[in-house]
Amino acid sequence: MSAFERWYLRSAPPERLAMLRILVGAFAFVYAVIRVPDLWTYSDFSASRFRPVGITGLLNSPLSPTMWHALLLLAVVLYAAFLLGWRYKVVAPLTAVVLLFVTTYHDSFGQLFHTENLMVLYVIVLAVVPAADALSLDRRRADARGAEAPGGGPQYGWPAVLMSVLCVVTYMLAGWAKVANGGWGWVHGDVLRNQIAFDNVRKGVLGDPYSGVGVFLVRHGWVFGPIAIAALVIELGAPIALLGKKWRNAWVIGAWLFHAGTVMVMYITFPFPLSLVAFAPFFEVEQIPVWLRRTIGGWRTPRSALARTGG
Amino acid sequence: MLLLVAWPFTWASRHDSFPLSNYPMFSFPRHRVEALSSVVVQMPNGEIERLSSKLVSGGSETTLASVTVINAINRGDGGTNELCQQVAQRLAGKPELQGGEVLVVTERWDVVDFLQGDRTPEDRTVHAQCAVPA
Repeated sequence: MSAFERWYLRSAPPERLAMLRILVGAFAFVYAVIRVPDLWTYSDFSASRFRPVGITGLLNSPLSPTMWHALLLLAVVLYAAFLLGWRYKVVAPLTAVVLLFVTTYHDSFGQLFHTENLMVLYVIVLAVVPAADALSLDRRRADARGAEAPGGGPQYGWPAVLMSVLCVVTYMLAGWAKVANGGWGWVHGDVLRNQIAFDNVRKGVLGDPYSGVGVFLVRHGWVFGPIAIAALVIELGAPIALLGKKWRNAWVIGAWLFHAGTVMVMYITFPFPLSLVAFAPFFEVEQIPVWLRRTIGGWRTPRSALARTGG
Repeated sequence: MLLLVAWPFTWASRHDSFPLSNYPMFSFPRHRVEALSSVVVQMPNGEIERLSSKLVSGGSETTLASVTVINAINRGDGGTNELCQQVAQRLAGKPELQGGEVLVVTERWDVVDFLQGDRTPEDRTVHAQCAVPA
């Protein structure tokens, strides 16, 4: 077995993919519930604003309001079923298709948002791998039938590695775009300063709130050089996250701070990485339930001990 | 799948899609003076009232509102008049804007000066105008 195969086809317990399903599914569910009121109003948009992109290119015109609203409600139900691991072999691929369609439709009115791409890619991967073999309603049903629980194997390891690599590639693409479109002059900071100023002014001109931190920083042009370099290091240097635990931890902290900084200076939120779910495939997330059991058990023990002693 | 996600490395800089993307946000050079399109209300005394993204596009996202105005201007076949009427309808019943006129505009701003408090655009082009309904 080559070094690449040992790295890519690493063995993992079924709980790893199961936890990734739960984390990504929980994010998709909560995100959808929060976004539904805004997305609901997309049915009011005039047909002249419809600019199909990706799979919505199959449509000649926008969906009817009834169809769009039904799809939004179906999506929320499917995300819940995906999260719980219910009838996974059928529900998960259907969830991926519906999520892809709903998020693409959201982007089909002239503005491509870049906040949902990675979530969609993760759900597509999880939909076609055995991510409900543990910690799921399917597993509970199988247990009730007396079916044997599966052991670990590479089928539970490589999808997480693939998701990590997909995450890395998306950051590299963003870094590459900055160099390709803005040139290496991007690192001087002027491009970034004007971007931040432009984005805040656009919000101001449209009567929306904008960032006081951004306003403050724009007065001090020198800060944007180091910020621009840090942003490029995070994005183009994303492959270091695959090198080992220390590099991974350093990169994840850096990437998270990068997104937190974007919220502070531009009021632009990338909820998927900010929630840390985007970085979950880099970690042994199967330890989360173990840690939770230990922590909750730790909380309960003193009380039960007291009960036993009559305290 | 990995090849698909990496495919945008080969795309032209202005090409983008979903969920595959070359993530071009914040990558194109911006200048200190930039044109920004929006929809405003001009009151009878000449004062300009700025309208939120929700009132301009019906959705809450700023970028969507901005692109909605730009696309209406670029359509060139009455798109700005249609947008003007749509926004005006959303303003119906707002007493504070009665007597005002909805303007679809492109303004050139010094973006750094704007953030220092200078709210006078370098210039303003009006693409369409219509009355705020009673």
